[in-house]
Amino acid sequence: MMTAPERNSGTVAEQGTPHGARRRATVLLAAMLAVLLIVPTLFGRASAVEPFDQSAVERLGSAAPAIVFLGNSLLETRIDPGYMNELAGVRSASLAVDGAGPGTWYLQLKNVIGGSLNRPRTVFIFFHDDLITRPISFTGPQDNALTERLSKGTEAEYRLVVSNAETLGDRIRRGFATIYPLANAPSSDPNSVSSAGAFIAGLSRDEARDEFDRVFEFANLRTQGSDIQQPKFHGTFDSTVEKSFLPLLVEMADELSIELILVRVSARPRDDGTPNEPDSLAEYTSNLSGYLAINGARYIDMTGHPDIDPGMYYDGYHLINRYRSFYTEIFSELLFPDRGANP
Amino acid sequence: MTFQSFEYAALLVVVFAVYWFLPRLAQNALLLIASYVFYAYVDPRLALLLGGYTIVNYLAARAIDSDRDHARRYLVLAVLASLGALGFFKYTGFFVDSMATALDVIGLASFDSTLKIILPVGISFYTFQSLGYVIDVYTHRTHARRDFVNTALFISFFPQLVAGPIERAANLLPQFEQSRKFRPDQTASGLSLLTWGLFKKLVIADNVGVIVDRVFSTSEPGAAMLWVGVFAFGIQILADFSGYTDIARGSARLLGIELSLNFRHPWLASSPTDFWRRWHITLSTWLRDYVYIPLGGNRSGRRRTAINIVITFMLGGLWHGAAWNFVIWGLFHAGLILLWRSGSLLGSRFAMPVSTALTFVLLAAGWLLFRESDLAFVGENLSQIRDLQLAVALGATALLYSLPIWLHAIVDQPRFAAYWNRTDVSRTIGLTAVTLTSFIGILLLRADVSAEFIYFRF
Repeated sequence: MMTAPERNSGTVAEQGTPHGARRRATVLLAAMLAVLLIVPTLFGRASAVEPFDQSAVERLGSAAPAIVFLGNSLLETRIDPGYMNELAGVRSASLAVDGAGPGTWYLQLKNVIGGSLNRPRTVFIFFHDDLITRPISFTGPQDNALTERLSKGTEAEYRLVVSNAETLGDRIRRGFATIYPLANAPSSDPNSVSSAGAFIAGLSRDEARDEFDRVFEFANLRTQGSDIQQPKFHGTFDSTVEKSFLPLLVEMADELSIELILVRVSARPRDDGTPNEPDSLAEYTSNLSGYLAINGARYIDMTGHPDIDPGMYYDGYHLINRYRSFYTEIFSELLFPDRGANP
Repeated sequence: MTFQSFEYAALLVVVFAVYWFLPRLAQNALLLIASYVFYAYVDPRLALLLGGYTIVNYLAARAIDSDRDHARRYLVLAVLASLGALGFFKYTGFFVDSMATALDVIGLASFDSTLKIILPVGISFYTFQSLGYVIDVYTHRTHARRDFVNTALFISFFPQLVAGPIERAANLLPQFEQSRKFRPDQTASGLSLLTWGLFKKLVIADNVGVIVDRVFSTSEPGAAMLWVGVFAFGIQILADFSGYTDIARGSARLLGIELSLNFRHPWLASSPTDFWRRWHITLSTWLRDYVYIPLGGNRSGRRRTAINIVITFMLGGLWHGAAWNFVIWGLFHAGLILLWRSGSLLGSRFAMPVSTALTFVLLAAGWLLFRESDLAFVGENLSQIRDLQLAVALGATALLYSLPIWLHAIVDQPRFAAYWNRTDVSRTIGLTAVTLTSFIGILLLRADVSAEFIYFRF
């Protein structure tokens, strides 16, 4: 590799190359730029936009759940839909997607749930902090392929929210990702390096991941949760709601005659068990609750729930896997106090 | 604005596109505007601080040059102003906390220190760079510039503003004062260096940083895991800081400006002294020229030399951060250098590969002091062995990520470099291969989240 060719890097004193050599250098630079700009565009390009995934609609239709949960990994670490069926005797299904945000939930509600012949009676959306009014589709890297599989047609209303919220950096990033589709791919390939490292140690990828989760689980961390992941707040409710997907979610649920219930999961409480959230977030929550009440949706705030203990948390938000069933029981009791954890 | 952001890419592309169509004076004005946009992007108040530094040091240098009878007075004022600002923003909390602890220990008084002062990014770097200019004017190494724009640009030039290299007036100012012509070979080289730097940051440093953060945030990692964390941190900090420097030097080269070399394969250092000729070269030469040599260097006997080394490295440690672990880290390096200089115990008696390996291991131990401020935590964990298999897996992962840096260290040796550089075609093929590989590597292997550059906090 000759990334830093110090000897030939050229200084101001070296300027003034002969005309022929300069022209040759220009041609070489142009050739280099052409290769650099064009070759990476050839990788990772899908032949066409991914079509809408009708099989997701059919799966949901055949399951015919009365309750559907939407959310991301926070939902996955909290609710076991199979166990919920056992506890409450109500058929439920989870459409959780790791890293999903409100834009993805809107497309799921509109096209997957809305497209099903057996629509559920109730849809729960699990979110944290003020995520529900952030105009984003993913909390982490953008998964454009999933967005395409959830979209029907141009999705004008969805696109409007996305484009209204774009910063200069977002626009450049989107343009870049259009030219270089590899930039869109979730960065799963670093896992291949981790897998190779695990292989050297005589572990399979799954064994290594389990070991990693065990050794570095939240209970083993030096700094407690309140320092690791502070609750996030991105602006007052009034200043963010109209630019978000929330009005679309509420309208869509109304249009589909589905009861919409938003569930705010709590960040890891402080060690003394008190809720860990700033006053601004408490005010936001109050405004959100009022907005939902006016617009015919319901709201459940799990913050401060007496049975939720800081020791149940893997990090600032996710629960340790073994507490998933317990949380499902808590939630079931909350929804169906007459059936609860004792079906 | 950080180097790995799309906003920076946009800034650089716009500046590059306009810059080469402008005459020299307009080029410098454009660079100055871009530098202040770059610095003020996150917090506009920072531009005022940078402007203050510029005005103070510009006036001080002019006063020193024009009034030699009172030059010392102006120098002292400039040094006090610059170090005063640095001390206020960077060290006030440290000294107040240390004083509170000391008073508490001896039972004289106790107070709760909750002083919170924001640390302007890059302040340590531009303080040293502007101080170097004024000292150089005082010692006749260079002359004070009348042109305010050039002086302001010297202090604020955006590629190296927030994390170096710490430039000398004699290298950078003449480049701003001469006309620059677009040179295709320089552009190709700059682009390659910039992309390689981004690869080091986004792929190596950010992925290995995940392992480091996990290990050092665990209450009882045990000895094996702790050493893996230290080893991984050695990889992370080199990839992070040298990656930053490569992006800085590559960006500057695209604009026809050559910044100083800051890293020369430090893992190949054969002794602690050699390490400091390869690691953060512009800081170590700054400390050598403005601290160690003025203290007397090695001209006043062995004992005095040892004291000078200790003082220089202690200040070098403190420059990195306002915490005792950095002071101890500096003293640790001073101790290693003195040990090697003694020659009887280590160093010269070993063959080069053994000395290089020993240096690597000892420097890794030094990184433990650099990364971890709670030394009791280190002591408690060094006596426990657990989770060995996972430690090996994480260590192997970190090592695999570092392979491109090792490969670079090998093929950058003169015999390989000469092979690639023998014709302009072979050179372009080599640059294209490196740049293309780095670019595709970034797209495929980048970490989900890119952390702030480590040296931003200094």
